Amino acid sequence: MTRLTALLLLCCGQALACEGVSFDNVWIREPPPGNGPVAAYLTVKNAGTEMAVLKDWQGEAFAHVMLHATKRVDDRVQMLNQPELAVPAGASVVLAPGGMHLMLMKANAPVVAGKHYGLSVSCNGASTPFDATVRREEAPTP
Amino acid sequence: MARTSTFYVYTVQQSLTGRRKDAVPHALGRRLSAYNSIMSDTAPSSSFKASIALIAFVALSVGLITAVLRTADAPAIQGLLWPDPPQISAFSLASDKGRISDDTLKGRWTLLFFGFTHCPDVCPSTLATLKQVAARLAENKTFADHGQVLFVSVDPARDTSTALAEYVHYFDPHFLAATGTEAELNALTGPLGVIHARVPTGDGEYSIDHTASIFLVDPQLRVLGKFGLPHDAATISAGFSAISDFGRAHP
Repeated sequence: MTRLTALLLLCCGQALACEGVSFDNVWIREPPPGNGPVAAYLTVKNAGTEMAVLKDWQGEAFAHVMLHATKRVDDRVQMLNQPELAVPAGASVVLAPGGMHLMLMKANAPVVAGKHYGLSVSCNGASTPFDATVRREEAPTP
Repeated sequence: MARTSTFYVYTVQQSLTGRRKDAVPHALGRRLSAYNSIMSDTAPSSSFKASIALIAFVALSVGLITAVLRTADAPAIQGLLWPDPPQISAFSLASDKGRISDDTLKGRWTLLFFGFTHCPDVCPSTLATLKQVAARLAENKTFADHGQVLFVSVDPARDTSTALAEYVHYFDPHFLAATGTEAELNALTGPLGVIHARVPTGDGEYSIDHTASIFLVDPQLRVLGKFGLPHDAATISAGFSAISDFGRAHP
């Protein structure tokens, strides 16, 4: 009984901790041939009332996942690992080409357009799953 | 002509030292004094002084006009590197089709980009943009007849020639790709001021900070254009047309 209460508390406490946080427009860029990292993009929206701290990104078909920010210094680009992403209450963070992106490392099979993948992230301590679809991205036509 | 230059030197000499000509102790001064005495038996006349002033004025004007013309010569073309464009020097890199060298660039208009295949965000975006640039320039005779796109990997440890070729051909089968040892790469990146440096990503792997500009190299290996971030197909294709026209008019 005590154990059940503890489990319930754990479960609901976690659910509340990440309430109002959604993952939209999730997509994976179909990579060129090779076993290099694959980029995933999404929008994290925090409609809750508390800061959402995201870390420990994972993907079922990938050895590991990292969040990178792209920093431009003059005409150079640098990738900066982001161990944590804090999304304030009421705010959205967009991960998009040329900016922040998830690095999906070492896929267990070729990543091709149309495939679906399950990803997850720890949101204020609660493991939160979301789905992503692979698509072939052409550069935006200006 | 010799007379003019002597007068010019003389004027500079006097203004620099603040000495009178007959007080200049060294050989040049003595020669000038002798020259002056040939030109005029008496002390410097006012017409002599006027000549010096006039010649100095003309020399200065010519210099100014040349400078103004030189500046006016560089029109407002986005991405144009003019005057004094950098020059590609001898280099040789490995590709799936054999060596790619300065010879490969001679006689061609080359869009040149540096990157690496373990770069999931910027490099695929840029290659996708270059694919669009090539499509937009299909009607441009210079590009259609003499254009090429070259992707150079600055990550020879992970990018083999074959893997590189597969990577770029995903975007366009006509794109060239090459890499080489650090020294071979530096022969190409040095004159362009392209920087590339390994940075650990914390998982035992590394990323490479690198210059992400696209360069336009003309058939004489002059680097006439440079397109910075963000890369945009319309800007780059328009830049290619304008810069290649300009380059042909300024051989």
